[in-house]
Amino acid sequence: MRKLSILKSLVDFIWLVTCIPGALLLIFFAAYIFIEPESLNLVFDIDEQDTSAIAVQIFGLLFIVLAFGTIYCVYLFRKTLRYFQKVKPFHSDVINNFYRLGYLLSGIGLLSSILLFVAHLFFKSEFKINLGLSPYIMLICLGLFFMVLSEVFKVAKRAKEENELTI
Amino acid sequence: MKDNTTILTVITYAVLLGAVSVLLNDMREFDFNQFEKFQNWAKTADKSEHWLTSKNAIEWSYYIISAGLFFWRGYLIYGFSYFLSILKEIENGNYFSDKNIRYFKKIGNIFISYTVSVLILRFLLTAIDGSTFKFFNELKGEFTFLIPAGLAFCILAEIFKRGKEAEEENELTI
Repeated sequence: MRKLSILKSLVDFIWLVTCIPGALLLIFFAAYIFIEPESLNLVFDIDEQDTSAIAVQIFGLLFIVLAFGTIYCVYLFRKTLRYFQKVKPFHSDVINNFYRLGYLLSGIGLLSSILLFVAHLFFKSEFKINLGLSPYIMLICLGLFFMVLSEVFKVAKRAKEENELTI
Repeated sequence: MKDNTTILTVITYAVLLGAVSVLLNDMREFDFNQFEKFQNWAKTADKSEHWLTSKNAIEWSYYIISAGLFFWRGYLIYGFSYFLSILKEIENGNYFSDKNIRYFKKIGNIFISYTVSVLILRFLLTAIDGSTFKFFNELKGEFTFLIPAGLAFCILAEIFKRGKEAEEENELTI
């Protein structure tokens, strides 16, 4: 399985280059938005001058939590790939990881789209719904796909176990 | 699981419809008069000038590459449509069927070939434009995530093959 080692190297690269520094930056930013609330203007394009700083800070914090969730998903995927490398694709941890990944990804996708809609409504006074292809819809799809995969893997695990028992 | 599969099927249909309509709209907006321009140029061109170095030849190659990009986008949408077939098989309870293994492999190959081809075509486009091709900037593009996704689907095909073997052995022993 040469493709598996390529994928593992790619995911490791993303983990080292994006996720670890990203997590550190997010921790720093989570503290910084309460010290310097104006820093959030870099992230949110706020039109209204009378928007309360606390509301913007809460939104900022929620987006940070979602970003942490995404990093955790990469971690889970990396962990799952390790099981694939050990030739244990139907291990119960793999099934649990897929299930968790599914719930997390669809939750992140759904929450992000709701948050973005509310942020547009409150901070820019815009009623904006994106009906086209958006990364959030793709995240929801990916999440549901992982949930289906976890169920399918459960079936395979059962078949394998029955197989081993009869031998 | 049936609920998840149904939701996923509905979303996949919506995504496919959205992608097809966006592609068609982009194609409509694309300057298809380029061909007409090329024909006009053919009538008035200076015969002594070398074709390859003329302005219209450059415009023509730009047109071909843009058409190539549209083709690859269409091919990617075609790849996505395989998800519907996979979901149908799963709904029917044929989790580890040969069809699913084949579809996963196909999706993986389409994703990888799409990304590689689009990168090459974009490089050619920038070469024609005369602008600089920033490889790492291109890699940062959203479409590059399709390479790990493609690899993951190829691996899934392998895992499904193992699942199928386990299921077959199980049925034989019963």
